[in-house]
Amino acid sequence: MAEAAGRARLPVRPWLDRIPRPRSLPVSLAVATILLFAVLAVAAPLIAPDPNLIVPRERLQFVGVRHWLGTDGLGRDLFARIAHGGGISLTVGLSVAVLSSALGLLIGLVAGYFRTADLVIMRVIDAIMAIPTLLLAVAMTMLAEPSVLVVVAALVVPDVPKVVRVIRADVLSLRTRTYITAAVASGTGPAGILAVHLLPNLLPPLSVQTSYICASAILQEAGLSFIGAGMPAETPSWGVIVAENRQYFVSAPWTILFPGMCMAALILAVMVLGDSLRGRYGAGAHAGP
Amino acid sequence: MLAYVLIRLGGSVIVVAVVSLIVFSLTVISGGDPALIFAGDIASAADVEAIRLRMGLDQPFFKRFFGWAFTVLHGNLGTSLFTSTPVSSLIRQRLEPTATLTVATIVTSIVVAVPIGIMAALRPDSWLDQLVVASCSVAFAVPGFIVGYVLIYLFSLKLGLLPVQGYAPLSSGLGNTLRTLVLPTATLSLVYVALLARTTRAGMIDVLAQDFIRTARAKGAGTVRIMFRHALRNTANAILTVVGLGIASLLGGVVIVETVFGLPGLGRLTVDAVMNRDYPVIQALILLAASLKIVVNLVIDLLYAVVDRRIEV
Repeated sequence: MAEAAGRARLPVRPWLDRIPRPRSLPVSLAVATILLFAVLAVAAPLIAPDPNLIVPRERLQFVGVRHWLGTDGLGRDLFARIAHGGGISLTVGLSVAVLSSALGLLIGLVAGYFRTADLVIMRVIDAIMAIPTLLLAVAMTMLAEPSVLVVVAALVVPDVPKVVRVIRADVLSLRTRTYITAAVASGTGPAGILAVHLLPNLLPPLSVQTSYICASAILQEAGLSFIGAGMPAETPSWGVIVAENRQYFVSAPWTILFPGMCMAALILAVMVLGDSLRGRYGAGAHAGP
Repeated sequence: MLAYVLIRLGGSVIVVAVVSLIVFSLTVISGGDPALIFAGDIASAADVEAIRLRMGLDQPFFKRFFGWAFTVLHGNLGTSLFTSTPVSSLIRQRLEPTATLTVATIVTSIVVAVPIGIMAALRPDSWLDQLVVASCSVAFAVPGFIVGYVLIYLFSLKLGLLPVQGYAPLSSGLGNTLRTLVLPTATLSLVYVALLARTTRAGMIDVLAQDFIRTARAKGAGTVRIMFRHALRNTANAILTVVGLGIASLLGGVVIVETVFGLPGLGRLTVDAVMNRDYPVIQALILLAASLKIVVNLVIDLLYAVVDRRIEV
């Protein structure tokens, strides 16, 4: 009732009402976590030392006033490195999610709507899906000098087929609906059918998958960097930080635990968003991570 | 049944062929010039040209592809650039730790996850169910290497119960092997337990809501009988799929776990190949993993027909 009364008093702000507001505590926490890492990544240069500044005197310090999260084996400030790494994780996660969703959407639409193209496309999709994500990504990162761009590309290729599968299945089921038949009968061409009639029905379930892909891309990037096939060695990505500090694990466990905990928090936050989208769009209950 | 098997088999052969084409294309892109690499530093331009002709590199792409596929089909997976040994013998040397780890992980996951999934499904939305669902999400989010290091810290360093790293081959006794596998298996199982528990739970909740379960209950069947005789049997398909997916994607998962626990398996071989930029090894591993996945999928599809009689074959 309170909400209705509020709307009655302030009728002219439809755009504000359209911004989806988190409805539950877990979702609010998830949004807050993601924003926190984004803000930290942007603000790190202002509030923390240079992430690559080597101070051998101060190596392997525990949490303190000078170094909030301690230092690593070379005396570099862990807070600065982790904050910077969060930016890399978010960049990779978002880029991979958006790119593979867009490409997968396009290919899935074509495969679902044009039956001859489907035969060829699905064989390639099946083949890519037969290769374990990490192995395919490793093979691709080895083709070029390590960089953010290469890692994103290497993770997009194994993720596109997952989107294609879902979109294609949705198109196949949607195209039998009466309203599509009606649109075809009234002379709408394939482009119009795809863009006007199919696309709006595909986007909500796709958003669920996009968020899961974002979570898994963050995890995969860390894995790739951990085994030395991801970010360049000097970049403070979370996977690189863990790999660098493996040797100090016994004497300085925090050097591994802090980046690990941040990784888990961010991935969990993104997955909670995916779960809430799935709850909202019901039908998109397909793939988990 | 025979027609169904043949059609599925044909489909699998096509997918294997496309995978091979992708892997071969990666060789071509990864390039460098194989003739140049083979010739070494002191070869003249004419020597390189001669080698190129001898290796058939002047041939068109598809002719080279079929030549390469032919040698692969004869079990020749190429030669490691770094160790100069055949890749197939490298893989054979490293197979055991990965194979035992995979089997241990699959068995552990099924034994742990299916009961958890069933318990959660008994009372949907109860505190137990919510705990299971939340734990599954957390298990997905925590990276394997962090789990591994925490387990080593607790059980090997603090409590001294288990070896920190390394692998004892089966020839040294099953007990020794299992001791070295406990922590890696626990680490690798975590994600699969979560995945499998969630699948079992979702499948069971789905089936338990159906009419035939109510009928069975009305006829006086007890909870245990309903759960195992009726519901679990109908969830078996979904569980089988996830187990199959698990076997296939484990070859990716072992890369990180074997690195953390210092197991000399295929995952470690992958990491070494990355370090040395040893492309033939990576290609062979991709081909192997993809073929394994395709075979597993085929077997599972055929098993469906056995478990679920409704699938007409």
